[in-house]
Amino acid sequence: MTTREKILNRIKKGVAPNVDLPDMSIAESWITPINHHDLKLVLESVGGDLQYVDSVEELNYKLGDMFPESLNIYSNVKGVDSNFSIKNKTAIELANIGVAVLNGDFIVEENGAVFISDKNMGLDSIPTITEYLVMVIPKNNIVKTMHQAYKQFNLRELRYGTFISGPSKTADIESTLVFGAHGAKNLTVFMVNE
Amino acid sequence: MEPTQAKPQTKFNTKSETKPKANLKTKKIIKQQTQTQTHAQLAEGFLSNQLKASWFNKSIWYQRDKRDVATKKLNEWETLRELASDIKAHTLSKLDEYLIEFEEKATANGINIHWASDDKEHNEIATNLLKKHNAKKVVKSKSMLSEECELNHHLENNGIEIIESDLGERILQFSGEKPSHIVMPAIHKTKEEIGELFEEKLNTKKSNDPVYLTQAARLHLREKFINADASMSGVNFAVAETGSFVLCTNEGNADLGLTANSKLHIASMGIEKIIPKQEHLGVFVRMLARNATGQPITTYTSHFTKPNKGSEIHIIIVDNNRTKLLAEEKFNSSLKCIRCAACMNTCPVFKNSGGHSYNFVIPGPIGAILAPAHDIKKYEDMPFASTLCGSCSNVCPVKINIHEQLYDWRQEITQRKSSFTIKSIMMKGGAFVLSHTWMYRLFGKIGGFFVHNFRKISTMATPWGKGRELPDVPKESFKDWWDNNAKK
Repeated sequence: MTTREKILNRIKKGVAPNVDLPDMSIAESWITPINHHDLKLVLESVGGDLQYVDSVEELNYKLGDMFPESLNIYSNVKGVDSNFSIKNKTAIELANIGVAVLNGDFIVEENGAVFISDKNMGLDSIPTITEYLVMVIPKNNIVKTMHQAYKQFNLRELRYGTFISGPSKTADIESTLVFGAHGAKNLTVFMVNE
Repeated sequence: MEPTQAKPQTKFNTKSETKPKANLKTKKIIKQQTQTQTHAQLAEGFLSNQLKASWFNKSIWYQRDKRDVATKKLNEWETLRELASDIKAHTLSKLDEYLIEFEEKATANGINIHWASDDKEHNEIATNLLKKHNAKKVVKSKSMLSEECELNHHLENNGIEIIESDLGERILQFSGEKPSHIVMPAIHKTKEEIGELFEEKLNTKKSNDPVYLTQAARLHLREKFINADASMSGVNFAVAETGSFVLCTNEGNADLGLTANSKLHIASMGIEKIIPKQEHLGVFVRMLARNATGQPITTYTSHFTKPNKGSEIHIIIVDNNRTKLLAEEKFNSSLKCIRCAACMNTCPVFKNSGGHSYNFVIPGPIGAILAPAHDIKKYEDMPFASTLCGSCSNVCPVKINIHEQLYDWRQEITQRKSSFTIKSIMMKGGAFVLSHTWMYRLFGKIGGFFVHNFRKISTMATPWGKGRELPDVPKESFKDWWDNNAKK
């Protein structure tokens, strides 16, 4: 008998009582109108920053203000210029990315998390290997709760996707919150008016 | 009673404390043999440094505080607990079906599934995979299952360098310690201790600034990520209907480990990590971080369904006594646990005895009900490390009746095994005395005599006398008083 069969047989001897799967429709009653002010507060509470822009020109202008040109900037957002190509780069070279400007899929109001799927990452490592992360989302791509968030995409069609809520952080040294543990040290979300 | 409690301070020297003699003795014992010491003995060692114990207590309560604020912001919190509990309970009742479904879907997605009956088999599978890929440098994000299997030790013996990438775990790897907490593994270490450790291991300058130390660790571990041949992790949730697995971290170390350079990822999961559907993730992801650290969600909540081109993902599904627990009617609901650590953050015993006072890999209330299922003899004292106050059950996101199980384990342990002979003799003796009026009165008189005349000895006769003093005892018993006065 294989280990697999052994384990499955042992599970069959388990005595967990039968419980029905609960009806998840109750989660719909928790959806209230979107509140951008609350989103801003929660994103700031997790160390991120939220800004609104009307156009890509305005976005470029603000990015220019935020980051010096000497940084390696990678962008896959239409209209935002890169000065760094990710083609044929080794991991060591990719670790030199200073700023990554990426399209986020959508944002969640209750926790400020931006969902980004692999197709928007450029390369899988970019959202975490970059020093600073900027995510750009159309203003209407927002949901209230995580229950709604999990209805926005199908895991089956995804290879890799992640919710990112604020910059990377740790409190492993005496419970002191420090940003920039391994991933981005800083996260700005730009919501673009369409 | 001590009239003056040592005032909690933020700065203290953990090395040069002047301690009473008794403490030095307990310290020595800890060094000799950790495994065979009971929770009470280990707790005594922990408490010998009162300043540090008080500081630890505060750090843990700080987590509980943040948790309360975060959960109270959700009006639907209690409903979420019901949903989470029901989803997990349902899954446990059909665990074989969901594991098979998960295996089918994951395999179709190009993920390789392995099954391991115990820690040994798990470690062998992992080692063989790494050897097959000629992987020499492996980065690993925090996994309590790998701690349970003592994987690192096994890999190192096989010539594979395994690097813990979670900052807390890396600190402990440097210091050669085990985690004292499942979410904040190095919570017991002060920044001064970590500063000294980094000076030695990372050549940092003398500092106890968490920002500077974290930055030093970032640079050190970046180099490890970009040179890693392979990566490893645990699993927070595995979704049966899609064959995906989810990892939750704040540092981003799991994501960076998987994506920076690694061509082989091995994720280890206990059989109980399965949930049926994608929509159920909403419930658990909303609760996990809020209940653990008070965050609305972990910084990274990452979903992996398929390996990237040129990479492989392997999942090892591990039993290691979980099916044994599943067959325990009174205790199998402990398998619902999502490892948020709220039960330990709220536990008065955990806060006052430290995570290292529990011999099992998972400390605190949940550890105390999981451990006896692994080895009832080895962990017989763990369910007794509780006041049964019930706070753990109140904060549990999946509604495990932890304090009731602690109580039930005590009965089971006393009934199933005989090493508690003194306790059972005392209990039988006690039952005899209490069921015979004349015996009861006789022992009452003897007890009274000792308390009045040999107070010190009476206090020393019981462990409960440690650090406590007997209250003043009335000159006569209530019965005597009644006989003398009520009839007048």
